[in-house]
Amino acid sequence: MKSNTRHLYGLILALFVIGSGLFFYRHFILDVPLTDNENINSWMVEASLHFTTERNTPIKANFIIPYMSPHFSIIDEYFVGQNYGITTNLEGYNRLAMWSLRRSMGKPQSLYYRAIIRETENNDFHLPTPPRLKIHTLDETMQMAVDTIVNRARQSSADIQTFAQATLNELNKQDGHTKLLVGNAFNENSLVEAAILVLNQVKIYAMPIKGLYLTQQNKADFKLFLAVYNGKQWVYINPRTSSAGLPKDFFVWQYGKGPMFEITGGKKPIFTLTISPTPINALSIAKSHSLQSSPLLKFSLLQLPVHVQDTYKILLMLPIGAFVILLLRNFIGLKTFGTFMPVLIALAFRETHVIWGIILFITIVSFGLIARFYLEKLRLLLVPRLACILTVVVLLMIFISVISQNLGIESGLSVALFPMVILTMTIERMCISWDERGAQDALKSGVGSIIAAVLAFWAMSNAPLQYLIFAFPELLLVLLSIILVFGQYRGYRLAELFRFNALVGEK
Amino acid sequence: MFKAYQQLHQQGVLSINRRNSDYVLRYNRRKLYPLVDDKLKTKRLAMQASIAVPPLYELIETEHQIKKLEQIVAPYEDFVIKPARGAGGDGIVVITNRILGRYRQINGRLLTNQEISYHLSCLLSGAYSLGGHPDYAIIERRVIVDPIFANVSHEGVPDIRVITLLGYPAMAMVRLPTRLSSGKANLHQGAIGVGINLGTGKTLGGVFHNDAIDYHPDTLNSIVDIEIPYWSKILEIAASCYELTGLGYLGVDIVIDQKHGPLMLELNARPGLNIQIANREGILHRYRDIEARAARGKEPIESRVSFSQQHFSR
Repeated sequence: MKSNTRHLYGLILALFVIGSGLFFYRHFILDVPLTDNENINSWMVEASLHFTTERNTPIKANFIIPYMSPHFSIIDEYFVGQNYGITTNLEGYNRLAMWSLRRSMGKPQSLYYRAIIRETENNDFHLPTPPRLKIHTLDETMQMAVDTIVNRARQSSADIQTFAQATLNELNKQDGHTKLLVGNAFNENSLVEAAILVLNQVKIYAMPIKGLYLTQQNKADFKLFLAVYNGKQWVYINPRTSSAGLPKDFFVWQYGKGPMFEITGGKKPIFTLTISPTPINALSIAKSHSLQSSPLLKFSLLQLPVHVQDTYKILLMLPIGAFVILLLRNFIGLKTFGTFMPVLIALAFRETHVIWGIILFITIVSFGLIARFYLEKLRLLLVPRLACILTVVVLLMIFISVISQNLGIESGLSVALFPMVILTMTIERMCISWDERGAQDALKSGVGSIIAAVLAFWAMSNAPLQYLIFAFPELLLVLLSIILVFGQYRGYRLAELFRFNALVGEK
Repeated sequence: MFKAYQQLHQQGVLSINRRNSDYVLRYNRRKLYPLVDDKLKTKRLAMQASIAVPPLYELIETEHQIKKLEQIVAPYEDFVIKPARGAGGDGIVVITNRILGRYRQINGRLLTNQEISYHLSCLLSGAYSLGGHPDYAIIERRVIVDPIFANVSHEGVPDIRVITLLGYPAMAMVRLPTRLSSGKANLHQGAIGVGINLGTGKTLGGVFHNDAIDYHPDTLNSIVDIEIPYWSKILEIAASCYELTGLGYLGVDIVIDQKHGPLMLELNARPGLNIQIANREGILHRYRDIEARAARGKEPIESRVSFSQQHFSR
């Protein structure tokens, strides 16, 4: 007996730990949201490459597509290019979409890449450490200009990050030395290049970063940032203000130098970008997560076709309904017809809504009872009698549907969703208990069944709960452990306190 | 509310949850249930072990037999029809004699042959059996109740329920039918439950619904201190049902026949809790005593009975 209880509590603990562990892992690490209406900022970014070709020339085109960006994750992406073969390659810090075609048709061509991206809270992404730096020797005047800036920056800095910031400050002054480095056309590009040149001379690895401000959707052009490796990690510095850190809405497209796109066999290439915000609900994000990485998400319900998902949404709530019945029966002592009949009635309530559900249920059962009492007089045997009641129930349903249609009450039509066989058995049982235990007892159980059905419906149709169970089916393991714990309850039911009232105060 | 809970707990009142998990599930193996769920099997087992039961007259298993009912029951002046797998005393018809070609029920109602046939075919199709399974009818000798109960019952047959745990009688009561219960010995339906002192076999006070009562509501005769005849014999029968079935937790129903003494009627593997109300005492303390005693080793029936009589007398 003792080993039995140890076994049981071990099982309960194991189920609870596994269930809640999976739940916490998936919520906190894999970022599956807890509620369905979590508002998540997401955008659709579209990059397209347009060019013209000549007939029958092979075409190879590639452009950089986003791969890893701090603060963002790619939920979904599509590649569109008619007849083109598409591969994606990782090159350095970037990802390339490679498009290829053996023979072009000679028309203007368009290649599209579309990504849905969203903000993420957790950001455990890290750029790898940079390769070793090759120092170029500069000519004398350049070297002097660099040295001057290095000296000035050194005086006003303490470490690599502040040094880089000071360098950018110096370069932004646009005095004689900087002119030499930055060049005549002072713009972001030349500024960043000059900064990299200076930093490389003192053996600091730096590279430019191209990206987009997602909140400024009207102007979808690339802005530059400077990424500096400080020996341990990368720091991002805004070249214009020389402040450190990436803004939250900055979406990194390309790391390092290099062309944004390359094309062989095509002419007059134009590369365009468009950004638009897209509202996406949390569940579809969880879904797209599952497409990406973790095997724990891969085997999730979100993988199923949508109509199957809907079925499972209902199925997954059945244990909740059963749990409600457990509470009502083992703790309260409510009497119902059949153990889980109320759960099935509650399922029907989903479509009919509670008030109408109760009205229809009572109507059908009471008319069914009248029919049953009449059949009693005919002295039918059990099976024919049940068949008769079933037929009467179906006729009643048709009748109610037609009448309510004519009266314009749409809710009456949903009567067809009631489980007929269950209703038939309920009527038969109610009638027998009416005969044998009296009307009071039968009505008590009938009312108990309705109460249980309403409560089960209320629990099962709770939308946040529904979402939670659907997104985290492992919570059913937790529920299972709770059921096992509650199943250990040996104490009195609420109804028993009244039943044994005569014994209270004895002795 | 919480106070009531604590008081019940202190008195050792058994709850349904605890009965099911700690007693029914622990001591009664599912495999053995058919022995008690089928009254014919119980009857045959009892006869093999020479425990007295009402003798079996006939079995009715097919509709064909129902057609020949008149011939089948012709030799018997009075008899009882019971569903073999019935529950709660439903579907039982007691025929005392025949008048004008009709069967006279114990409550005076007359039944035509056609009515009895309909009742039987309902019975065969499972109207009274647990879960509506097809059933068959047992026709057996009518028990003529010992006159000791004549003053304190209305129609029906008062029976004695003894609860046994591991073969030790733990508690007992008499169930007296009333007009309200229409002859049925079911406390739910208004029969009176009267606790019995296991040591002496004398009745204690009774319970009518949930109220304490010392007299029969129909006859107004006292129900206290009635000495039940054959008391130790009754306890022995109850105790021996453990060996008979192998079920450790049983409710044994016994009636006292005017001529033949105590007869075992049926066994119940999920005995109800009302016996506690009838005895106005929680049963758990007794169960614990019995479990402690049984842990010491197996005892013969006589010493089990005497243990119970010593320890559970009040």
